[in-house]
Amino acid sequence: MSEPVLIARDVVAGYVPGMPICHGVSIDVRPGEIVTIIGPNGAGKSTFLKALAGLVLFESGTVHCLGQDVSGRPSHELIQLGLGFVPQTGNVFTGLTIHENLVMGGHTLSAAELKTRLARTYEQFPLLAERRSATGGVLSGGQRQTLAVARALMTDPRVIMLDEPTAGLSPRVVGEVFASLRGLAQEGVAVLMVEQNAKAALRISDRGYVLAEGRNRMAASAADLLVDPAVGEAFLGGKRHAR
Amino acid sequence: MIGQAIADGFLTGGILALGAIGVSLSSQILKFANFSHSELLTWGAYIALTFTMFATAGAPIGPLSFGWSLLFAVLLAGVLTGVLAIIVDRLVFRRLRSRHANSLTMVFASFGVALILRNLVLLIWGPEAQYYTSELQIATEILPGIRLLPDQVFVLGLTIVLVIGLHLILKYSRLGMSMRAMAESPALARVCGVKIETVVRWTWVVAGMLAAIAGIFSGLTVQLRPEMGFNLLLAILTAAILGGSGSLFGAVIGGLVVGLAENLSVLVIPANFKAAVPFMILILVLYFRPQGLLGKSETK
Amino acid sequence: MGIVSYLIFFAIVVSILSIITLGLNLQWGSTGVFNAGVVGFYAVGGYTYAILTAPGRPELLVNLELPWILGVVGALIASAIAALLVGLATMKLRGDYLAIATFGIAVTIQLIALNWEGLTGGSLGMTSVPRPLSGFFETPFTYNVFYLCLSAGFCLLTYWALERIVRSPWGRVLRAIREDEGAAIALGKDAATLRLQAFVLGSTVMGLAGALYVGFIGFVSPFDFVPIITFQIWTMLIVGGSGNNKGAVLGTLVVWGLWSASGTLISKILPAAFQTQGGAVQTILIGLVLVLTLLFKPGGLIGEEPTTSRHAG
Repeated sequence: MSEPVLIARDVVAGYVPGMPICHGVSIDVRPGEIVTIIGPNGAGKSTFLKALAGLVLFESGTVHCLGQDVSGRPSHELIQLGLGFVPQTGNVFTGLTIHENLVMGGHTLSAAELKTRLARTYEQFPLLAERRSATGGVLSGGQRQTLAVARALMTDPRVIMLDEPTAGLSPRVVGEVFASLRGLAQEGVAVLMVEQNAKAALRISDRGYVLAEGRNRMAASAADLLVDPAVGEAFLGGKRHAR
Repeated sequence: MIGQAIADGFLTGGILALGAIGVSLSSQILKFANFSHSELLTWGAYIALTFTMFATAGAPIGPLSFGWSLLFAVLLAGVLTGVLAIIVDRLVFRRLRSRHANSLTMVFASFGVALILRNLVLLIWGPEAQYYTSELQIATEILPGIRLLPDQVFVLGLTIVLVIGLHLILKYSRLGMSMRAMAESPALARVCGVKIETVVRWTWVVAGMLAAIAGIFSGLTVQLRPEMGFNLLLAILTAAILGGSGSLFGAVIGGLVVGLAENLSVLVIPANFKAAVPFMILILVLYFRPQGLLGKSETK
Repeated sequence: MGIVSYLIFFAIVVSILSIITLGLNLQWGSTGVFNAGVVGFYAVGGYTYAILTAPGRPELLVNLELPWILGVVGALIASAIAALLVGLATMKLRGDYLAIATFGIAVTIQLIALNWEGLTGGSLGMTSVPRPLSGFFETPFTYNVFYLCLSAGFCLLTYWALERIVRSPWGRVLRAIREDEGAAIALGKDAATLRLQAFVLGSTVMGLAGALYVGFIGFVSPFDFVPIITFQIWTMLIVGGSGNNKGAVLGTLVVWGLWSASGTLISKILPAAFQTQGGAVQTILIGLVLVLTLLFKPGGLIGEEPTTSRHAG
């Protein structure tokens, strides 16, 4: 099996100094694999992802991304290194056009690279090409999610992290989003996501981590987690997630 | 009479608009109302004055009261005022940002910065009114009943050019795009790889340059005094609020509305109360449209 | 004798300014209402006192020549009404916008003071405004001792009343609004009304200070109510420690002490021709003190006292 491209060890992070929400979380993600983090509300899943993306206060622990120590480094350096991040809320610029959103996605690229990536993205997502001058604010939930993912892919990241990519989407669109993630993994991208929609997410994942109270609770293959009675009772069987 | 008031209103409005664009940019990108912005106008005007004292305002170009050296001084003062704004940011606002101070703490700090900057001008350049040139100008009749000085025509023209230029930068350049992106969502801009501090720096440069030019225009059409910027502060803040958030042209329209209202008000109320007009407009607007004239209603 | 009478003079000014700072602390420290037009309400109080009590002059609109105590009462009522009108128009505004609106109010009030000559005496102001009970004292020194008792008495009264208020159930609700307006509304409190009440009460206190100031100096002019006073008062509150009445008084003492000391020093050192520049240095010092406090001691000299359980943790 190939070496992990994203290795986090004992990450302690939060919003207020001295009051961390993640109390030491560790994960590995390998190229071409989809890893899903599940856990109850308030487990620190989102905060952990934001810590890896350089968006919240990183207190201690180490993160290695693509062979480099990036612990606590600011977002723009991580992006340049080859990390992509799709936040849960506010994942597109509503006041900017689709085209401008994609240009922002390619902010770290040279003008020439930007041009070829834009052309490729429009080819890949005809819907975005069609509506390129529409502002982000007028898109439907599914279109937004497509734009958000397309935006994050502008830099050809080798690791992509998604915070609840299917929140608020209709079942059909959820399927499309998951299929596109599967496609990315097949191209060798390492995919790490946080999902409330745990059952559906685990079905397309290779491995999963269970977080609770800001700490690792379980780590196993996605298939094992799906049949694990404890996990099932806590996170998969509840009516809230019975999609 | 009305025609002249309108022409004067456009002139004042143009100057206010340049100030309001800066306030609006900084309130969107830096997320606080900068009460010290007006002092950048004053500094810009006095930096240009210092340059013209060394070089004189130059041999007048055509009907204008000044020559090329003042135009060069405009450029120089713009750049230096931008640099001044960055220095202030380094010393004060960036430290507060890195501590995640709330936006009202930034406003308090801007009170202090305003006091310091304004009184440094007084200390360095003295309290007396000063002028760029002593050339006398004859107002020409532009339209029937409307007389403007050539300098005023120049100021109006250059303001229009600047606004259009800035619009193009914000609309099409990658820097402009990242400024708009930052205004909407700093977090998302960061995960696009935008270096926040770079955008902040450029925001100060743009705001500072426009402020300097507004200050020079004000000095050119009126006079230079240490409190010249402070006296425009309320009008500038009002113009920025009128324009609402998010729109460059909003700030321009806000500036014009305030400028026109001030000058037209003289036809109905005593001129002494002119300075209260922005406040009246402000209260009306905030009462009926807290999001500004053009702004969309914000969802918090 | 010289130093003693100077100290008495200094103490009178500090006690008057402390009253303003206490009023601002009720608005900002306790309720989170951002009033950037402090000097406006201070001016309304001062002018009302002068207008009601000053000796009659044919060119003035109002010639009541009321006794001083009615002047003070009138000042309280006028500043309360002014604050009520302003508050009704602005209390639904948040932070920055409220600051800009109230800043505009102060500018407007100063314009009225400067230009409505029939009411205010215009740029010359009004002279010979009666000083409370001045007939009973033979020397300026004994009068100043009396006036110190009067102004310090009012200051203590204000302090005591505001302390009571902050610790009352009403004061605790104000704090709840400041901390989290959403929660306060959810609890069934009409936040806008409560903010308005705090704003009016705070501004009334500022009006009291205005009356005491004009009663002390015996004349009034627009140049006693310049915008910088607002920023000085804010500096006093922030330096002392916003949210704490002791801090408000301490901040006033420290900042006014610095202002006076630097002023004295500058007037000794600088030749008369450079006095304007000297004033600039004084103001720069105030600005520096404000900025440095925000940078290095954001809570002020004495931070907020825990008055409710949610602050205790």
